[in-house]
Amino acid sequence: MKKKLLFYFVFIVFFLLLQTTVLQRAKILGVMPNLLITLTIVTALVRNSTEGAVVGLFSGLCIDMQFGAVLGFYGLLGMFTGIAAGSLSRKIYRENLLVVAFFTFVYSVVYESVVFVINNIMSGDINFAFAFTRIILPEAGYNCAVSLLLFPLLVKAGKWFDMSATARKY
Amino acid sequence: MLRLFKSKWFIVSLVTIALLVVIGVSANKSSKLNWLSNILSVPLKPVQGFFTSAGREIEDFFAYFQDIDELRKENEALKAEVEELRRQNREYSELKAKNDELRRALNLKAEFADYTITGANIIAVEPGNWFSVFKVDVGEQDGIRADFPVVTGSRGLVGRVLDTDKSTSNIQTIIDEESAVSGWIAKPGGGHAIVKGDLELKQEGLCKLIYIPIEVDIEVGDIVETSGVGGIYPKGIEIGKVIEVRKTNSELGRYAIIQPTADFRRLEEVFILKSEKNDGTGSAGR
Repeated sequence: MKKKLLFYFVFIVFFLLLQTTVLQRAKILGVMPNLLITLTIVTALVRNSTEGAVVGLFSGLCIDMQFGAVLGFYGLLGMFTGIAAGSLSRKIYRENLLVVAFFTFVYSVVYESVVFVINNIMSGDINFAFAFTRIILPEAGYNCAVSLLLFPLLVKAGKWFDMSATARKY
Repeated sequence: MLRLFKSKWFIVSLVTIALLVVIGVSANKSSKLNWLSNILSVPLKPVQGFFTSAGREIEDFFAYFQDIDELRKENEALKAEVEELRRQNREYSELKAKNDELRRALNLKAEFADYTITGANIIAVEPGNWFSVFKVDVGEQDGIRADFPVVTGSRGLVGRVLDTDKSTSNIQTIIDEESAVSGWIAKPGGGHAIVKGDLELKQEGLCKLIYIPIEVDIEVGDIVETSGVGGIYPKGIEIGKVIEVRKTNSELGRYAIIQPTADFRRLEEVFILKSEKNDGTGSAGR
């Protein structure tokens, strides 16, 4: 349990730092990947909805504390993304890299669409077509690529967690 | 009963309700709860500063090899220019001394006489692709408050302080979608208009000018300044220049595309104008 918490803590802080600093310089087509939400989705898919929800909640709260207009908005959204992605993980063949990549894409599209709509619902002129084709889709594709790197890492980490969990029993 | 407490859905709804309450309370900018963001921003400040400058260094390192030839030529040209500038500088100092004397005589105030200027380095930018907000390394302990205007070294308007923590603050740029600044089209027969951020234009570092009065004959190349209306920005800070005028669907409708004086893609350092009058209780928020 301690190992797990430490592992996720280190990853969330490291990804937050990358996201807010050097990733700015790695923009393709003016868009950068969202590392924290990708971590949330892949964790939820490869592990389970509880871990996904916890990772989503804490990475969201980190964003809130750093940049949020209010505290808790991204935390709440991250938690529900984790739960939603995790509830699917029981139904799909989650050891498959391509399945995880595909659902990372889908959930990224849903997540960013919700962020866009909630943030712009009051502003009157919503340019959803532009936002969807020029920001949401490229970002989801970018996240999808990141998930390919995160997948083997989380599978290995998962084995490591499970191993230490069973080792303690005997 | 115990099973209820252990149920996942119970925990999830509890967390949801707790977060909704936190959202509600922290929406009020003066709420004590916003102090919580210090937990993260204070320890992360040096690390983010390091990462950002390391990223810059790495980029510069690779640029170094590409530039070496170019630099040699540039060096020659610059040496010649330095000589020329030295000469001009001597003339300038003389003129400046004279000018200062005259100013004092006329009791004129310098451009931002009501403000003290604080330099700040950009240490982080907002994650995600929606907003254009960045974090700088000065905060409440340096006397920074919400709504203070932010400019570049060349006095181009960057935006305003959105909110502050103990040692860092978030700056909302004028190209952010949620930003609206009252502008003045600076020419004879000019008028008031609103400079507004736009999601589509933001990608290119541009913003738009809306609500242009019908009687104003706006053209490409016109300079837009802050109007001083609204109480956040002092009058006369250059915002940018018009690079295109577009018609909208309605007959009289039109808006202009503004190229801001501040280059948002190359911003590293900004200057915050601290005013003594603003006590930081402005209605900041987005």
